[in-house]
Formats: sequence, C-alpha cells, structure tokens
Amino acid sequence: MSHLEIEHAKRLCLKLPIIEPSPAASITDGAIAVFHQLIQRQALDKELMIDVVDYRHLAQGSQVLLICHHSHYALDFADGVAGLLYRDRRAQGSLSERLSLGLSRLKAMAEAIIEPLALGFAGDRLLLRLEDRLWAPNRSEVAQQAQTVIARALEAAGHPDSAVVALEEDRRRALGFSVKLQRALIV
Amino acid sequence: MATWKSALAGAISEPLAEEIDGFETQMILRRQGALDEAVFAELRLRRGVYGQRYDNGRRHDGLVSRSLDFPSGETTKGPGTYWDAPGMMRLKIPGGLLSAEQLEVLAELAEEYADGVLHVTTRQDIQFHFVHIEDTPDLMRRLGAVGISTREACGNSVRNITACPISGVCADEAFDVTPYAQGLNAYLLGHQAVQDFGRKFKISFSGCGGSACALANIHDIGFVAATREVDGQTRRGFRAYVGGGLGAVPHSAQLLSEFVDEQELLPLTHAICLLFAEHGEKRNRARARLKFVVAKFGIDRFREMVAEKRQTLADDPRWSTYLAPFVEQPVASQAPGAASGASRGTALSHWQQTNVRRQRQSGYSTVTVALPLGDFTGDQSRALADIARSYLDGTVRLTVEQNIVLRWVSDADLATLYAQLADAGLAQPGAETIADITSCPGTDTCKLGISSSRGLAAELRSRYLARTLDPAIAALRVKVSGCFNSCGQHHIADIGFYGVSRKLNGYTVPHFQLVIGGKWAENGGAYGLAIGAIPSKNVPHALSMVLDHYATARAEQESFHDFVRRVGKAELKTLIAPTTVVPSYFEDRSFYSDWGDPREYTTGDMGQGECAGEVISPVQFGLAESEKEAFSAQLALDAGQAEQAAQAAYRAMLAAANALLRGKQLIVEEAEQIVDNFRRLFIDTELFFDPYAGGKFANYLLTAHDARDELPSLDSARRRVEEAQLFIEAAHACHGRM
Ligand code: SF4
Repeated sequence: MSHLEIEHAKRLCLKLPIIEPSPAASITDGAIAVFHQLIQRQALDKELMIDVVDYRHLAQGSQVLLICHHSHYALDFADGVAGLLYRDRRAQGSLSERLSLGLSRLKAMAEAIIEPLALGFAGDRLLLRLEDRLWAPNRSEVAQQAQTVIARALEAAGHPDSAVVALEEDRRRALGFSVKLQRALIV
Repeated sequence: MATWKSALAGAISEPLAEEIDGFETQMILRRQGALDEAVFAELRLRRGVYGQRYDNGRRHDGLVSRSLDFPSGETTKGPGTYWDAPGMMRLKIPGGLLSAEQLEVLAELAEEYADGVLHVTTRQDIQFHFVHIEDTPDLMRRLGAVGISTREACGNSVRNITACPISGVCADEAFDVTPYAQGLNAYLLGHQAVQDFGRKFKISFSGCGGSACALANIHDIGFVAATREVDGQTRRGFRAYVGGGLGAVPHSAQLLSEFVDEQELLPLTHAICLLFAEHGEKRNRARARLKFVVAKFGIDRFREMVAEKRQTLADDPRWSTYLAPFVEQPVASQAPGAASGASRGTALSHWQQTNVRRQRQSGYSTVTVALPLGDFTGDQSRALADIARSYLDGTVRLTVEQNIVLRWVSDADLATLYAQLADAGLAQPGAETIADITSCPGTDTCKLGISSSRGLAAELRSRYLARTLDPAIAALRVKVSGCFNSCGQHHIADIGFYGVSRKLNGYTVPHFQLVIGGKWAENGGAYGLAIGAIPSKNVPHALSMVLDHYATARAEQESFHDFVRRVGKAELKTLIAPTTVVPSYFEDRSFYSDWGDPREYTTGDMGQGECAGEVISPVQFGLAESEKEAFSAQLALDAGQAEQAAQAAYRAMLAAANALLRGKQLIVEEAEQIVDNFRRLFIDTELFFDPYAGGKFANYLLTAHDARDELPSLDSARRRVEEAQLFIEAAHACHGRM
C-alpha cells in the first residue's frame, strides 16, 4: 500500500473529545432536542440534514446522531472517550481536501452545540479513523505510511506540525490515530 | 484502482458475483432512466435494498414540512423514492445463525456503510439503516465473501427462515431443527418456484409445540418437529401448519399435515410455493398472502391440492442430500474457566437468574444477551465474535425477540463470560422479561410508522429494568409495533401496543392501541385484540394500572392470559379509561410529541387551538360511538358469540362511516344509504384511501355489508372484529385529512 493509495481512503472520521461535563452521559437527553433544533434552524451550512437518531439505550458507541447526506455527526462514547464525532459519508476529493472539509464541519458542529449543551472540548486533540478497509486496512505498515500522509494532509489543511500517532489496538477496527494539533480547533 | 469486486474475486461464488454485478448494472440503467422505477424497486427489494422514512424527499421538522433536496435531483430508486435518500439493507440469516467471522464482517459494514449499529429484527435477521444505495453492491460482496446473502431478504419472496435459537440444546425439543431450516433456505434461495409471488412468504421451524421459539402459528408455513415410529424405527418429521400470519388482520395457521417425513420436507414446501404462485392474489396486496389462498379453498381442499402438486414434481436429489452430512451439534471442548476476579456479586446472580438457562447437555448453559431494542454496535459485534471463539462453538444465534443466544457455555465459564460481556456493555439482565421489549422500527425509520414504537419501548424498558418485580409480572411479554402491521408482533404478546393517532381540536396526538389477550406460548397460541387507544405519553401509566390490577386481583397461579379472560376486557377498558384523556395543548404540550422525539407531532395538521375549551365535532362523537360498538363486538367474541360479534363489528363500521358522512353535512340512517353515500363520497373520491394501503380498509365495510346476513364462524367473526378496528382507525386518519 503506497502513500498515493492511502490518499484514496474514504470515510474519514474525526472525534473531538468532550471534557465537560464529566461524565458526558448527562448531556445526551439534551442533545436530542438540540440536534432537532439544528435541523429546524438549518444551522449547518452546506449540509443536507435529514434526521436525528436516538441510540441512548446502547451502553457504548454513538448515542445521538444527526444524519446528513454527506456526513453523520454524533455524541459518541466509543473507545472510552466521550466526544463529538464527525463521519464523512460521501465527501469527494483528496484526503487533504476531505480532511480540511471534515475539520471545518466538525468545528462548525462543535460551535453549534457548545452553548446549548454547555460543553467543553479538548480542542487540540482528535481521534482520527479511516473507515475504509479496502484502501486503509489496519496493518502496521499501512499505519506507518498513513501517519505521514495524514500529517501532510493536516499541514495542507492549516494544521502544520501536528503530532499523529497510530493507535495500537485491535486490528479489526478501522485504522485509527490520535492527533495533537498545534493550534486548537475550538477553544 | 482497487475495488472490493477485484479484492474479493474468488472469495465469492461465481453465480453470486454475477448477480451482484447484474444489480450494479441495473442501478446504472435506472440512473440513466433506462429501467422503469417500479421494476427497479422490486429488483432492489429482492436484493434486500429497502426504503426508509423520508425517502420521498420530505420531512416535517416539527415546525414546517421541508423538502430534502438530494444532490441526485429527481433520480429515483422507486416510485416516490429518491436515489440519494438513506435506505435500509436487510440480510438473510437463516435460523439466526452467525459465525464469529460473520460477526466481524457485519461490524465492519455497520461502521463503513451504515450508522455504526447492527439491528436484530423479529425474523432473526440483521438490518442496517441509513445506507446509500450506491454502497449496496460492495456491501453485498463483502457479505457474500463470508457466506451471507441478501437475496430475497425483502420483496415478494421467501423471507428469512426462522428456527428455534436453542435447537439442539433444548430439553423439550423432538430434535435439532437447524439443518432443516438451513437446508430449506439453501433449496429455496433463488428457486424458480418462488419468483412469482404476489406477496412475501414466511417459514419457521420449531423444535416443539409448547414454547414460542419459532412461532409456527403466525407463519405461512410453520413446521413443528415430531417423530414417529415406522417399522420399528424412529423417523423424523414435522407437523406442518399453513396460512398463519399477523399483519393488520391476523390469521391462525391451520394444520396441513400431522406428519411430514423429513424426506418430504423440501418437495412439500416446493409444492406449496407453486400453489401460492398459481393461486395467490397478485394485484390486491391486501389479500395476497397464503392465508387467503387457504381460506379461499378451505384447508381440506388445499391439502388435496398440495398432494396433487407434489405428485407432479420430478425427483430432485437435493431433497435428501442436505440431510446426509449432518451430525448433531458437537459439544465444543471448553476449558473450565477460572471464576476468580470475575464475580460481580448481585449483578451476576441477577443476570444468571434471567439470562442463563440450563442446556439439555449437563454442564452447559445457554446465555441470552439482551440487546436493547435489538441494537448492538460494531465494537460489540467484535466482542461477541471473541466470545464465540473463546467460549462457544464459534457461533451465536439471533432470536425473534431481538436478542442473541450463546450456546454451549460451560457452567464453569459463566462468571468470566459475564465479566467479558459486562466489559462490552452486553451484560444487561432481564432477558425474556417484561423489560426485554420487542419493537419494530416504527417512526424512527419505517415509512409506515404512526407512533414511536422504539421510543415507547425504550421508555418502558428503562422503567421496568429499574424495578424489582413480582415474578408473575416479570415474566410477561410486551411487544410494540409502530402501526397496525404488527412487525413488532403485538398480537401475540401478553400486552401489545400498536401506533395510531387521534386528531383532537386541531392537533394530532400520538397514541397506542392497547392489545391484550395474546399468547406468546404455544408458538404464538392466541391473538390479542385492541381494547382502547391511549395517548403515547400515558402508556406507561396505563400499563402500570393493568399490571397492578393483575398483581392484586389474580387468582393463585393464574396466568395473565387467563386473568384477562376471567375479568374480561370491559373491566380492563374501564380501568384504563382515565388514561385515555388528553390534556389540552395549552395544559400539557408534552402529549403532542412522541417518546424520544421532541418535535411536535404532525404539526402540519395544526390549527389554532381554542383556549376556552375543547370543541368536539359530530365526527368525533360518531367515531366514539363506533369504538363503543367495536368493543361490544370484542366482548361478544370473547363470549364465543360469533354472530353477535360479527354484527356488532359491522355496526361499528357503519357508525364510523356515518360519522364521516356527518362531517360532510350528510345525515342518513339506513345501512344501505350509509354504504351508498360512503362509496360515493369516500371511496370513489379515494378520500378514505390510506396513502399506503389504498382502498383496503374501505373494502372491509363493503365486504361486511355484503355478508351481513351470513352466519359467520368464530374465526371469520374474529377477523371482522379486527377489520372493524382497522376501519375505525382509517376513519380517524381520514378525519385527520378532511
Ligand atoms: S409495524 Fe408498521 S411501523 Fe412497524 S415496521 Fe411494520 S410497517 Fe413499520
């Protein structure tokens, strides 16, 4: 798998950790109403917002989702980390273009819910996954190459010198990285 | 450019690979407009690619109805179904049997193509939601590579074949039905005999007649394992039932044969499928299930027809070859697990009480993983795969109650297994209790949903999980459907609910009909009937009232089913009457939205409320009158008075029709006049037509009117009572539209 091939990896996921409130579980009830209000106000630019999904009954994973045509957003509890999750579903372009788009969409969503849900984010940290087992299978040599590709893409997206570290975890999961940005995405 | 097609070349059988390529070509043709949208819709359904709520490009956001302007514009994947709209993908998991490897692939697919969640259906199946049609060919390829098909998972064909999830380890069974379910599935999949049905066709296998595991009674064909001594040898076979089904008006299956030898299982089914294709209704979907063919000919004539058709079939080696290599489920060798450090005290013992059952084989147990609303995540699926490999025989089984059963758990491993499940968030207690509620997708994703079945189920579940319950109450089954179609199997629950709506003073309010009298045991042994519509937000309160009454007034050892029969529905209806009242919009707005969905319910219908008080229209009065008649029909039915029941049901429909006529300022009294005017003003104009069911409900009145002088059987009276209830619901809906 070459650098060039990893550029094709689709379905980029970005997760911005929530540090307040702690535990974050207390916000999920409010999130249902807030997500519905975002649709009513058509608050997300360039997103075709479709519906809100309630998975609060699940002990893990995404709890409340906002389904859009191009992306899914969620308050997500997977990996033992509560966070705002962005999942690119149908974005086009190179990985850096999609990363840049993803970061701006994640930021816009975070800004839209930060006040109504009284949230605090770890704005300089991200969990990044490439949910594409065809172009980015979770193997150590792919992870190494992807690390470089992602760092470059982050630089092109306005985040130079970001620290990208491959996650050492179950190889059946989508290839994952922890990212430390030099400049916080949101404060 | 790498593709899944090239990556998996060789891993998928050639015919399947060709089928998926063919579907991809059909997608291209449809996008070019070269393939008719209705034809394409049936083609994709037969590949498991289903529609989902809002795929007509409109959604009410609680304030206004908005159009969803998908990028592909006017391109559709079926009539009124936009190409880009998220859809549902249903798989076929015969008998609910999944291997560890399959669980891992399902996890990947849920994460990459859906919303991260795997949903277990009431047919032991898996479906994914929010899938884009363009992702479906790769999804099918990746499934095909691990032996899972989506073929004929939806559409007018043989749906997923169900079987007892504890077959092979159950103490009560005649024998393990698993290989028969698998064998029949393999035989019928894509078979020419099942390609020309007018409607879906459902088959189940039960290991015994007493439990409810596979619900023979509600299937087009229900097989119940039986053995017979022939020439000193024990032969395996099945008692065969035909013509059962839930849906709007449920039918109990009828006995076709006391004993079908295992060698005859496939040809007999083949013959029935041919008869269904020949005689089943093709145009009127409402009368297209096998139950109508059986009813048309009568079971005796139908039995003869099956035998005649069977004789025409040329021998096929496949009828018996699938039996040869089968050996009973081997016992997986288990290293006794160390319980140290795994004990979690009372939580473990509570879980053991509700979720663990002894197997027939000593030293082993089955464990039920109680999935909330049938959902689990990709990570949880991988955790289950690990468990299947470490503790089981490498497989798990899905259940019709939307759970997962783990078999062959060494008793010594229970504590460590519990710890592992708990770490994965899968050790919730209360399996197969009142807290373990079955629900269809309802308004969350189903286009036909009226009320939020999942929202209600989640609410009831959290309330009952938090309580310590009287064992008799804990053992009850609650099942919820979002509409009358009964995908949540509300008819055979101890307590069922199905979604309806009511228009009150210009506002539409979500409600659920309370259904009682059903029986989960004996393979879905009795169907309940609706006794009253309760506003959604009052359902938990109404349920508590019924359960409290049962707890205090039941006779010793009296089952809920017997209790309902003894006290009568009238008493229970009176009991819940206070909960049927809806506070005005200005008193309590919470009643005007549904569980788990803060949007105001159908606000597009809203007018300005009258603060001074509720205004009851003559139509509402008339509809209330019709409900009273429908209820008296039920009471007559309970008393075994078929004629009185059918007459009261007919009067209920007349009253509902007359109520609507009053809304048109027309006052008539004679039955003939009511029917004539109703036909002119509501049927000919299609004003009464349901957006999805068309004129189906209107026909109930016409049929009852034509048959008003006939003496009905108890069975047909029961159907008339069901039809009256649905006719009244349709009248409410029509009133809402007027
Ligand atoms: S019962 Fe109704 S709402 Fe529920 S899945 Fe079936 S059709 Fe949809």
